[in-house]
Parts: sequence; C-alpha cells; structure tokens
Amino acid sequence: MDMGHRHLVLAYAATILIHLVYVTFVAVKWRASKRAVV
Amino acid sequence: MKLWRWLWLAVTLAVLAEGFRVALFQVPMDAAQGDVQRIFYYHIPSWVGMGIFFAINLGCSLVYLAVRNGKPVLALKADALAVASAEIGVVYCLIGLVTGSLWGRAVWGIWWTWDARLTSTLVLWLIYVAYLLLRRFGAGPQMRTLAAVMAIFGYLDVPLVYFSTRWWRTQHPAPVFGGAPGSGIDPSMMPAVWWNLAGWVMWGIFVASMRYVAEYRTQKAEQDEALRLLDAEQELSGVSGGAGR
Repeated sequence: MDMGHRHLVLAYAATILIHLVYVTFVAVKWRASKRAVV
Repeated sequence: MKLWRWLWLAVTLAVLAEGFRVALFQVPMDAAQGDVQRIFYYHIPSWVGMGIFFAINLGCSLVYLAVRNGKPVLALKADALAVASAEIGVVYCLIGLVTGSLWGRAVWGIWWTWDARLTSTLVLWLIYVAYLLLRRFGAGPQMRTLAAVMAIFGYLDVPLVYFSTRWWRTQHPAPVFGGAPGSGIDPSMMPAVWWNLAGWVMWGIFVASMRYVAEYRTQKAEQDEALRLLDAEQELSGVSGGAGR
C-alpha cells in the first residue's frame, strides 16, 4: 500500500472513529437524561 | 426513540453507504493526485456540516439572549439546541482538520503549516472547544448568557476561515467551489460530493437532534428540581413564620 492509499484509509477510518466516539457520548447523555426525568 | 428517528437513521445510513461506494469505487481517480484526492469527499462535507451547525449555534444563541427573560421555555430550548449544534460542529471541524492533515502529508509532504486557512480553522476549533468547556464547568443562568455571547463572538471567525483562501495567499488549495473562473472539479466526480454531502449533513441532523433532546430533558429536570426545592423552602419559611406570630 503506497502512502496515498494509506492516508486515504486513515482519513476514512479517522472520520468514522471520531463520529463513533461522539455518538457514544450522545448515547450516554441520552440514557442519563431519561434517568433524570424519572 | 420515535419511529421517524429510526426511519431518518435508516435513510441516512443508506445514503452514507452509497456515498462511500460512489466515492471509492465509482468516480474516476484524480489524474494529478491519485487516489488520495478521494479524502476530499469526506473533507468537504465536514466543513459544510461545521458551517451549518455553527450557524445554528449562532442563531440559537441570539434567540436565547433575546427571550431569556420573557420566554423561559423557548430560551431553554434554544440553549439546548445551541449546545447540541456546537458539539457536532466541533466534531465536524475536528474531522476536517484531521482529514486535511492526512491529505497534506501525502500531497505536500507535511502534516501542518501555519498558513491563514489552517491557523484560522484551528483557532475556530479552539474557540468552540472553549465554549463547550465553559458550558461544562460553568453553572447557573449567567453561564448560559456568557456562553451565548461567546458563541456570537466565536462565530466571527467563520467568515474569516471561509475567505482566508480568497484574501491571502495560502498553501491551502484555492477554493474548489465558487472560486476563480475554471475552478471546481470534473462533473464526473460530483456524484461523490453530493452523496457524501447529503449523508453527512443528515447524520449531523440525526445526532444533533438526539443530543438536543437529551440536553433539553436534563436541563428541564434540573430546572423542575430547583423550582420544587424553592417551593418547599418557601413553604417551610411560611410555616415557621406563621408559628412565630
């Protein structure tokens, strides 16, 4: 795999990883807010 | 989670999957840069998403400042949406910086350079991270007012970022869309831009709506609890005052 391909894969992986981390944070907040209402 | 949210999520994931397929396997390879140019199809939607959500944050901050004394429910909603949009805006900005840096390493041979576009974008990211830290560690209604004012000043950097490649000579490539005559990409590459743009903006709307609901519910519960305690305190002081007479 040359540098161009490696960086393309890294860029796509970073995009997905950052979104996954944030959506996990949102899911935690969502559950906590449900508990706060109860 | 309501049915429309599941439907929105299903359509969003389908659009993102199609965007992935079109960007990687359908549109032709860039003749000058090779396959690394395909980073562009994730890089551009990140900046568009960032622009949309920071603009929503600005609008909500203005609404909050305008109605915070007269319409508390609307103010609470505006404030919750401001937080949600700032967070997803920061996420998109971070992705834009990371993907841009990876592209720069492959094409320029360097990870980073302090040119006007990159520096103003990093400053923008730091401003909104500071905004979120203020929201996280501050407390009370004054914190919300201060955060709203900070958001308005923070947004001043957005046009600076946008126009930086037009006003100054930068290492960052000249504007691809809306730039000089002859700028833009080949029409055969546009489907990858449109699919990913639609998919990532839809994804942002989905996540921001979830975050908004969570934030509003939490703030409402905290406010109700504070009002309940205030009522109980007033009742108690009324009883003790009555006993003293």
